[in-house]
Amino acid sequence: MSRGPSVLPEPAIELRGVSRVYPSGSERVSALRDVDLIIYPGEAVAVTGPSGSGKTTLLNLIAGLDHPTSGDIRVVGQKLGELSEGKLTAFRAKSIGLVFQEPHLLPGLSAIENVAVARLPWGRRSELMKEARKLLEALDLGQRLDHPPSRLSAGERQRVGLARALLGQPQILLADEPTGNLDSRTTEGMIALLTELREEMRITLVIATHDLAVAAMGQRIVRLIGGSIESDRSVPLLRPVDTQTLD
Amino acid sequence: MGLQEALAGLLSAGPAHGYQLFSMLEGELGPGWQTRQSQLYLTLARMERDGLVSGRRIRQLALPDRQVLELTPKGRALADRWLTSAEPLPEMVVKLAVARLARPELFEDLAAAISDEIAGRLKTLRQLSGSTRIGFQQQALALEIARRQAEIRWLSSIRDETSAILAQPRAQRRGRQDEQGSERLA
Repeated sequence: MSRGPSVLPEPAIELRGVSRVYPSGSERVSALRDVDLIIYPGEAVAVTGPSGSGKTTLLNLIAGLDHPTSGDIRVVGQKLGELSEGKLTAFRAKSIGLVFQEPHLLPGLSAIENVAVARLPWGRRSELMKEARKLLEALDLGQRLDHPPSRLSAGERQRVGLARALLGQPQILLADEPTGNLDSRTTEGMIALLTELREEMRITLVIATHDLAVAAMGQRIVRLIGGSIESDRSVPLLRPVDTQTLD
Repeated sequence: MGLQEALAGLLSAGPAHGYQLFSMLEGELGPGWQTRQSQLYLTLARMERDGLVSGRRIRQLALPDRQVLELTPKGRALADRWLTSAEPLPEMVVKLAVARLARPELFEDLAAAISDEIAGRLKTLRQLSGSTRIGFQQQALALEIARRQAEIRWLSSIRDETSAILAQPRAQRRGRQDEQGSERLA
């Protein structure tokens, strides 16, 4: 019997029965347990949960930085388990941008060089520098291109890290506690920036955060508890406040 | 604020008399929330008039008769509705406290539903904030964003500690402390 055309697009990220067990002395610790998760192109999904619930493990597995003990992971249609380490690195460089809590910028390089350097093996220096400049200008760092990391604020360093992740226009952006080191005002700026970029670049965003106030930027909030998905709920736009009346 | 619903919620665990209900609210929520005993008895009388509770008189040997109240089907429907709906947000503390005491099986889902509600509001506020630059609007919205952030972070900690919160023993009524700044359950 033939099936009609599928209404849903091909998932950007698909996890089927994914578990990750780490040895810990004589014991085995389950960081993720039988996780099924589908994320469609252009979605913004926040992964939340208390410390040790498996958020970072989940992101590392999607990025191919770690491998599942069991289960399958597909990213933009590519089954990660079928790739050699070399091909996986090239695939990650082309398709996935990574943002971490601490951007780990190289101290001897300027902001623009920090953005371009990670992709040097996969592109021409002049083109990478041109794209890096455009990205930094778009992130309001046009006046900081030649500054070393030591002369940038925490928020500026994080934006340089974001520009580095976006170089090459990846289809997927994975952000692990990207606001963890930022004050509340800069955090709001980063949330606004990520939301705008995702909409403009049609990028698929997965953000891991313990902070539900940050997670609320997602269209979905996936909550992990003890390595399992406890809930996967959508975040609708709701009437924001009970409008106060002047009388 | 929501006293009728809070009383219906408490009574959904079983019959109780007025002073027991007063003690429970005072013990659980004081000194942040103030319950006026006279207001509570008035509200119970209104609930009886409106068919939400029914009372029966219990004789006591050395003390005056005591009226024990229980929910009618209409009152139970009110309690169920209140304890499973995320709105209205200003009452979330009372609602969660009542759920903890009377309907612990609803506590976790209620906290999650309220959290979703706030997340949706926060998202809209952020969208509005990004689209306005006039007057003092952005600063006014920033305050609302900060409030929703604080609420959602508070709920997050509540959800992470649900088991411990539900295991906490029921509070006894505390002596009156400084009531300045406490909210009123009326």
